[in-house]
Amino acid sequence: MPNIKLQSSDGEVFDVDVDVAKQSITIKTMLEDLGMDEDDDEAIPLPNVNSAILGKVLEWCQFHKDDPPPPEDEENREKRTDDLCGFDIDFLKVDQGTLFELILAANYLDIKGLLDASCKTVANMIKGKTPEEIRKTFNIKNDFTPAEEEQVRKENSWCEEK
Amino acid sequence: MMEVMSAPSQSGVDMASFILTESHEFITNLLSHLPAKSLLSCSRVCKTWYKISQRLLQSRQQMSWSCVNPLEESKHLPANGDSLAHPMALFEKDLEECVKNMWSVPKHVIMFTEFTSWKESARLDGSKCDSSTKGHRDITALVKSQVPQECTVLCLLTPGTVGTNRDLKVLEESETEGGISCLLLPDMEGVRMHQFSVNASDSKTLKKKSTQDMVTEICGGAMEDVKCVVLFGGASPYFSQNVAEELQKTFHERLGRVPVIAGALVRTVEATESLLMGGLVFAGPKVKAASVLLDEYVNTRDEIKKELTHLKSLSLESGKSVAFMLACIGRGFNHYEEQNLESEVFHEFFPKTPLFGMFGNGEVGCHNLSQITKDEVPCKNSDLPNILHGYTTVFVLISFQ
Repeated sequence: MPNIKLQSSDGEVFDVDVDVAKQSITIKTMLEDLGMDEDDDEAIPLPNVNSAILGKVLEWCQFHKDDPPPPEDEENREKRTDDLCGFDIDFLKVDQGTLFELILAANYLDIKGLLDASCKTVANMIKGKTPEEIRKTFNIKNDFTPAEEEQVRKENSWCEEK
Repeated sequence: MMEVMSAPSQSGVDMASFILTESHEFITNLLSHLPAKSLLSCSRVCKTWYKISQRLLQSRQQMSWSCVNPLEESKHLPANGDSLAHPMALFEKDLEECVKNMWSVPKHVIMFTEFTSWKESARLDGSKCDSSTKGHRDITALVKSQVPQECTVLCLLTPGTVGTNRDLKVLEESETEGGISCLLLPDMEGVRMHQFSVNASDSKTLKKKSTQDMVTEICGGAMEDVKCVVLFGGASPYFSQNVAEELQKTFHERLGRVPVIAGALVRTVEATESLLMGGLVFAGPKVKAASVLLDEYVNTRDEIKKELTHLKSLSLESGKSVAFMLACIGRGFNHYEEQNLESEVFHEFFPKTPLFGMFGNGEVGCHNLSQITKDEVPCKNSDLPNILHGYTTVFVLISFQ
């Protein structure tokens, strides 16, 4: 199996199986469209991902390398959040900072499976929480004026607070 | 690497709040995983989340439902009188689950039930319940406590129910087994749904009104786009039967066509109060409806198939269709010597369409495929098909696509 080299933002070089790396559509496109040779000794620079996160991402890709391609998103179909595999559940049991760094990396590297799994993890953190608890958990600023807040509360009174 | 992972990075919190307030794409992806009830909480977090949550909710138009058939389910429970086998408790649990995971906000609920309170439901299987604490709670109140305030609830007490489980795998008829079958409908684009109700004092004023006014009142607006009227009569069967016939005639006279009119006579009809009659009107450009009637001569599986083939040939079924089965109490097992036969054949023909319904004391309906086949409607009023029946089953198929 041919390997390629990936270089993280802090300069660390990772030697990876091509098929593992190609789960990232960004890397796959680079290899295919930009004519980067698989035997090339030069490392592909990934300036947006540090070595800690890249290591984790590649660990995820290694585990999921034989997964079937993800199904096309059916618009507005019910999406489950309780169908994460055991590996993903454990893999994503990280502090919030790491979780969001993984989200950014999955987004930049275009790895749909990892992005979905991390979205589901965050979604599960939101379920059952009140608006105030959600704000607190993720440090989101309440930018409603008191009058707006009252209006929105009225409109959306059928929620999990009661 | 492990060190980095376990050390909670201060910047991580900032990163979370940055992504969760700035990246609309990510927020949309994230919130799209949440059921309606969570989305309503989310829309109160901040302005960005409000916009995205509301947009997501508007784009979703999914029905949900909760059905229980206690006799069937108690077979799977240990015989030590587990309180879960209690019909009302089973329903409460199932409805809670359904509402918690519902993808859209429900606007109209229609339910068929064999009992209306804890007390009554206890009598069905002989099991005891602590009526001192729970006896006062009736089933309409239970449903209302779970759905939004502005959601309408139509509760029909019937001798038997027909329901579908949530993953659309099993359809079940319950004939005095303590069944409940409850359908929750959201707002849908191009669909106007209207719950109408007639109580005893309304009926006196209705009689004084012109038929035209009565029909307008029932339709809740313009007659022109009405595709289906589902109506149920309680205490005064003749009154509802009259109204059904008047509806048919008025539509025919005014528009030269008749929407699907279907319904049944039940024990009681209840919405916010006890009613003489109540029902739902389905109107709007996205609605299409058709109905077939299985009469007393339909006695076998093949004969059911033959009738349902007419309905199938219309290709009305979609990911957004729903069906009602309104049957005479004399049918079902008594008629076929086999349980679930009609619903089973229906499911075979329409695997994607949930079926809800009941066994009752008289049916309203006829073969009406005219919205799709564009069949000629008879010119004379007197040639309109009879819509009042006994010992029949009416199937109504409604598509919202």
